[in-house]
Amino acid sequence: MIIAPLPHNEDERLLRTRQLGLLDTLEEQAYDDLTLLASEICDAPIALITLLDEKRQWFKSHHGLDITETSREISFCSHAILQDSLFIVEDADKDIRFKDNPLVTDDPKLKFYAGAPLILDTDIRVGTLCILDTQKRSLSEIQKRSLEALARQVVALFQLRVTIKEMKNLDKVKDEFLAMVSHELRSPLTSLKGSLNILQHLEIQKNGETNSLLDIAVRNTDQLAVIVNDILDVTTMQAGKIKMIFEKVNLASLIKKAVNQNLSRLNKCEVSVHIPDEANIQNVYGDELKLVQVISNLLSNAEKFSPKENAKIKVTVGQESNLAKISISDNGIGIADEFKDQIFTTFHQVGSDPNQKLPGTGLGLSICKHIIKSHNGSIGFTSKPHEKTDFYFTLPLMS
Amino acid sequence: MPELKKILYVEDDTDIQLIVKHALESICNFEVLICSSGAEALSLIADFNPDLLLSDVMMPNMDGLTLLKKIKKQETFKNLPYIFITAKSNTSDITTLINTGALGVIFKPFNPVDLGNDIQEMWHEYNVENKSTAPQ
Repeated sequence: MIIAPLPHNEDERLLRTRQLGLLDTLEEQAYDDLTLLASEICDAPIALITLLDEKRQWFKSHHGLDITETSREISFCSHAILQDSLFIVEDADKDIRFKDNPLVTDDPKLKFYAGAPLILDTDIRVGTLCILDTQKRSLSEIQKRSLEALARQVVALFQLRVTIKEMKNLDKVKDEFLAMVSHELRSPLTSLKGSLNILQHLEIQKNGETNSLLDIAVRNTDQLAVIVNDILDVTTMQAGKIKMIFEKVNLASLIKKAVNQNLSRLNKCEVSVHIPDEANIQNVYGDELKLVQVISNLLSNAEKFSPKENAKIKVTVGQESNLAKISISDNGIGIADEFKDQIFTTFHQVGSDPNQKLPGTGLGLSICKHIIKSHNGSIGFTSKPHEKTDFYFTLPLMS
Repeated sequence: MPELKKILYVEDDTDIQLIVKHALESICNFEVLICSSGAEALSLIADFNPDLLLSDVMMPNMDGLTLLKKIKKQETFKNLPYIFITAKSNTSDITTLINTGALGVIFKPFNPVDLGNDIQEMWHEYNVENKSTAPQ
């Protein structure tokens, strides 16, 4: 028996093999399908996908053979990875490299081997796709070409796997970073907002009126706080980490609570609320905090896009079969048809005209949509430009 | 209804400490003792004998929930009412806080001018509820 020499780039080869993250992982259908195909096409009882580790060959897929690894020294594959193309041993008994190999002399008494190296980046041969037989034999040209094509499919799967892993990692890093940043932004923001609020309070006590520069500082700090909250919400939402706590929520009290929380912000608008009597006994199954957040968001949008004078906001609760329908209407600038498709998309702000920049991140509606969807409801709007906009969402009523 | 007078406030951020102290003492006439850590709060609580604990949640060494557990172990304070102040916004985190039996949760960033009123309201609600659910 002749033990195969190490490839010239063994250190790098070993590193790349391990970086695939496949060694000692579970069986996977995608790889098992490829060994099945190799075995069928080549009419051979055994087909393997092997990875050559430092001291062993390990099988990612093993068709027709029970073991999952052997020592590297006795492996045919350690010879195959020295080749550029298919490595074939037609009769192991007549080959000085293999005739006294224990895989040949003892079980499984191999006679025939054909292995296509699995090649990454033209020169890194991490293992093989190989077929084995207990009879001496040969392969047709079609079988050889098929085996090589299947080997390239194995490599394609490897590469896909690595890419997915890298992307998941990047995504995780991004989420963690954004969550950390948003959280770290809140501490200084709390101090900033707190100090300004107290200064403003003292100013009013002293002069009976407030300083307009302080008002600007307070207003902008509040705006910054909303943006930080939105960003944190969107990142947890996209990471799928937003957890909702569902419980019985009374429809009428939900609406009243949400409207009351926002009344001071809406002081330049005439707000009317229409809650039918039956809403007092109707319940939805939901996360109250999150639903209040949705209504607050829609109210704040209504206010933002309302005319400066004679602004009217109407909150209505209605019912459509077994759904509660909550509408928030304004008599503001409306939404042009061209924006209708993008309005619930993350980071999109209606009429993103730099000359008419309105406060906000353009995250609010995408957060609302996510929350309503998790409640098995739907959200939408109708609008007449320069006249009115009517945003609505539905929630299943509890029977 | 018992009057709310003495508040023990635990917060590691010194700027926020000052702001809250000002808000609760100058604006609302509460008596406030500020502690910068859970350990400090545990060593001073008996002498101060507060009516209410107001605590940050995320603090180095000992977080607000751990501090609360340790305070509740003391016979004198096992029923001490408490309110959390937090920068968290995740619903499940908030629900965890409320489910411990807190009077309420105040979110950062908050308006300190309203803080005293908010606390007073939570205190009031708690005492009304307590009265109505007390055994006859």
